[in-house]
Amino acid sequence: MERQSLNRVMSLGISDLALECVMGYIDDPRDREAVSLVCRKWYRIDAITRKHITIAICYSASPDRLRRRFPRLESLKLKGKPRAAMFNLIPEDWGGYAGPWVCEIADAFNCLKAVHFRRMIVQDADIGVLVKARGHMLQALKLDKCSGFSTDGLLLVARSCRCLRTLFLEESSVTENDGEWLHELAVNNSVLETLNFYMTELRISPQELELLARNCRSLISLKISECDVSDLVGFFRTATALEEFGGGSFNDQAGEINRYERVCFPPRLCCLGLSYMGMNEMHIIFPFAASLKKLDLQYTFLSTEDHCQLIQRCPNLEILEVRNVIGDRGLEVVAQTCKKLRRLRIERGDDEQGPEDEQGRVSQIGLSSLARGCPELEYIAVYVSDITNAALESVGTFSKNLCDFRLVLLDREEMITELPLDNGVHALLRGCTKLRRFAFYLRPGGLSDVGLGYIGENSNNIRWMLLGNVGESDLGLLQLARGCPSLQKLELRSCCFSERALALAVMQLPSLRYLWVQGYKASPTGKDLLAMARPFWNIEFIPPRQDIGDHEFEDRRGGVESQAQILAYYSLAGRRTDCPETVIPLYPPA
Amino acid sequence: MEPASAKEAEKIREDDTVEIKREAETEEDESALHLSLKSVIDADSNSRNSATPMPNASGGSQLTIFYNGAVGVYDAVPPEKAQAIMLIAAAAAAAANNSNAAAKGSPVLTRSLSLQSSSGGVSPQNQLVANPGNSLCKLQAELPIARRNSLQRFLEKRRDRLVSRAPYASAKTSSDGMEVSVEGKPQIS
Repeated sequence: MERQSLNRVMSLGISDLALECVMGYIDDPRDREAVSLVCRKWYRIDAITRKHITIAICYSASPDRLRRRFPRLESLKLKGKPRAAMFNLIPEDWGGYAGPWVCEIADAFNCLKAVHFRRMIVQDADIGVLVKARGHMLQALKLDKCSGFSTDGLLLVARSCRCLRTLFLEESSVTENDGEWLHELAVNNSVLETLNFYMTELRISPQELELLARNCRSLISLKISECDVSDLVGFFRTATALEEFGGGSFNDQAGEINRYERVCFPPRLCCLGLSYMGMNEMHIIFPFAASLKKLDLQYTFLSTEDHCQLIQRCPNLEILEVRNVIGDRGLEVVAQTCKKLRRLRIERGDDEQGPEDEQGRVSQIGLSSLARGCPELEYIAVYVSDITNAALESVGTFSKNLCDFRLVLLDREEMITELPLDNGVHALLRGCTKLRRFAFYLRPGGLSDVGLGYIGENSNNIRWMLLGNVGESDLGLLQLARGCPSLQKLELRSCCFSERALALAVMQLPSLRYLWVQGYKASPTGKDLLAMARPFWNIEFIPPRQDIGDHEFEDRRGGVESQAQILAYYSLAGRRTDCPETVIPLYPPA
Repeated sequence: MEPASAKEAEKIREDDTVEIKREAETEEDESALHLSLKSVIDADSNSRNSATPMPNASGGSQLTIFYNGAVGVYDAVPPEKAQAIMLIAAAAAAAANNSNAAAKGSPVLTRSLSLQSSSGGVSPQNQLVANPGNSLCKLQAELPIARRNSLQRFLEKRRDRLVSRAPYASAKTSSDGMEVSVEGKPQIS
């Protein structure tokens, strides 16, 4: 009798069918996680109604397990290599092979329409298997910072996936055999909305792009590799629905004085990033600068003054990406002009021989102006040359909508106005209560153990943290680990913590499921690290090595010493079986 | 104790890497790796209670360290370990004298010495450094800031363009940059 009423209470008198309908409206993965833990019935219904899964590290579960639990998946996102791979810190053959996943997708996932592989190794054969099985249904394919495939693979996609609305290849390493794939895509597809091969070395002909624009009337976003913008006049004229464009290139050496005057952008264009654009070409944006919502100047040749000139014409900007050549002066213009700004990224420019521009430095002055001027900011990532506690306090006071804050203190200046930043970071974290992602990369002396304690105490919602050169001793790390209740993913670089402290911290952090460390105090035998050995916790070690050997970057990287790394993550799949020589699985034991 | 030369540091580095590689080659070796860690754990716990020297398979001789009024004697320390320890000491001394310690000359320091089957006695580092929080800690830090791949590629292309436009210019913007050592960058986004 009691059991019956319990059952009724649990299902609230709702039939299974109704429950399925209701659950269909629940999308947030954390809500879904909670729902699946209520009882077996709810677990089952969640399992068959879950539409999308993101697996943050592909070795945390096996493809088979995914299939058994979520057979009706419509969209899958997998991440392979650690984030540090984007900074050339991870060996190319580290792993993250799409092969096993593609096989399972081909076998079992009959509802899958969208696939996103990020930082993984995908081979032409894998693409072949995927499109043969799912090509007729695939609407979105994203090979995001992947490697291992060629234009032959793209050709297969172009021929077999006629329903494709999104093809995303940004920053992937693609072996180029020919440009056929783009032609086939233009000819076979009429529903493409987003095409992105930005930051790849693929060579394409503008005529194919024009053909694509003619056939795909819904094309709203195109981001390409290098192709002279003056050759895109035809494309821009044809792609009347286009809202976003990125890439291209400018080359004003060719002699033609008004080479770019003929370029006329589509009427709805509001997101723009033009590579290699210089001061002389900048004015072609002016006619529609006021309608720009997103502007990417990271890959331009603009000075501080140019940034000021351009940005003051963009009052509707919501997303801005620049290098630190923008300077404090440029940030002042942003603060005065871009009142709707939500996301700002300020990358590190070329400072090998001093800054790109005399005024091309960002400091506490620019940061403070920004915080005061742009209250809608949700994301700030900035490389600063100087900083004070007061600037961080300003952020805490004014940037109430901040969800993601990342600050790197560059190492070129010897003297920083004010260190340590204990009080500043304290104020920032206390003020920005919505913060979920946080990166703080300083220098020795930049943050004391007390400061680390402040971070621990005031990080209630933070899920990801990158800390570099922080703290003074193991005590700091342990104080951090006493807090951070929501911390799922922790990256530490260039800190002085011992293996023992790292292991203790891992055991203490209640939500931690992923740890990456480079630069730490090793114990002579490494046994201290095994203090964090526990069920389902994979521990991998990447020994230090000479010459990362990424020959894409010519010889510049030859001979660079790379320090040891620790990678640890929760896994239901057990020990990795596909480690290269450069990766040593420590736990679980073989 | 003479500080080891750069060449010897090189050799140690290679040996370390080679040793790890060799041990990781086969599955059997991997479990051997695990066992050797275990045996050190056992050895360490024994060492606290007894004064008997540890058995050592790889051979080595005695290492004596005088530090801050205390003396440590370690039997059967393999030569590579001894050199590593000496390098650490030399780098620590250098860093104490130089406030701009960029850890350039002491790569061995920051490399993890773990997983070497060191059956040669109690961990020497505890004997060496009285306060783990000071100079050793400072030396350990300061990895070069790593650059994001996309930016790195762009900056290289930018340099190429500037050079091709004005090969002999020395303008206010960095146009001369050709042979530049890579400065890393932390991964922020």
